[in-house]
Amino acid sequence: MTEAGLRLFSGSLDSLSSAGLLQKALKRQVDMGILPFVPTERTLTPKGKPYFADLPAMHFSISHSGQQWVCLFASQPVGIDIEQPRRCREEAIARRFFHPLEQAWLAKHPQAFFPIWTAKESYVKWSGCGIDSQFSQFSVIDEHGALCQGDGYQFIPFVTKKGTPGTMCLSASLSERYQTYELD
Amino acid sequence: MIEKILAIITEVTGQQQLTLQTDLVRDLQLNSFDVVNIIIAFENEFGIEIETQQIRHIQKIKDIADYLEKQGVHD
Repeated sequence: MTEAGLRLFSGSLDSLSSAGLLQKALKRQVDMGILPFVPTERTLTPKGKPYFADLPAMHFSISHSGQQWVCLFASQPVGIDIEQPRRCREEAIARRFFHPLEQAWLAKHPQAFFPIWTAKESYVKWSGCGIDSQFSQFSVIDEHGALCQGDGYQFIPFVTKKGTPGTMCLSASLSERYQTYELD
Repeated sequence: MIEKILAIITEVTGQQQLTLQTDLVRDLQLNSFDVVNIIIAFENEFGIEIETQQIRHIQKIKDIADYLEKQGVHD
């Protein structure tokens, strides 16, 4: 088997469903010698994080925004979120879902809304907790607006080839370098 | 009540021809941020707070309607 680092697959939901794109990404990795077989036993943890029971060493995280779909694969837990910035009730969402430190930063730097959102979502996907009552209890930034590198994880902001911004949350032991693959 | 629920989701998402059985992810391709926007719209409209841990259980529009009914929200 090929030793593989982070793999970021992109596709369009115009062509296939999320499940179809995931299947295509898995087959591509088998063809490349990265995975030994295409896993089939997709299941969820009690908190709703997906994994394959027949290949638990393969970690992955899916996100989509509009028709743009991405999936990040790695040998350690990962989380990913992409979000095309658009008009929304930013103040109400921040009041409800952001930590006070994030709200204070956002008040002076409104352009930080989607970077903060995608970092928070990528973190709860990495941890496997999902959006729960703790979502507003942690801050992904420090008082200077810098993304925090925490105990065992790191944030990597990125932009897809089609220009959709997002954030990856990786286990700290993973190299932040990643290969990109297009499924379209 | 149902018409109001569907109207709010149409306003937030721009999607039409909705029913109670419409699946927010499978049929409308919404993501969790879209669902959060919908939640905020409902909270604003009805003056309630939907528990954050309920968000992951909202898959169909019917789930929102059932939750509102449980909270005693009526027309």
